[in-house]
Amino acid sequence: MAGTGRVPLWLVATVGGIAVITVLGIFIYGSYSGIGSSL
Amino acid sequence: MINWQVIGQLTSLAMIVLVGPAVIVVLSLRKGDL
Repeated sequence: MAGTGRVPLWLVATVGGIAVITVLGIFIYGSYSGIGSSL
Repeated sequence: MINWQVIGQLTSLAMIVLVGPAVIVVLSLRKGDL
């Protein structure tokens, strides 16, 4: 594998965390729209 | 018909979400008082 310690861990964690929140937000949006929204 | 309201909401949310870590990055680069 590539050398360790090149990309800072806090940057990976921050970008990854924002990505996780975004994906979760898409699912929460989906629960209010389309099939399964009860509307 | 472009839904400008949703575009505005999402861009506002994105700016608010990204500005938080940006403060940390700026302080870190300037070796400020974290």
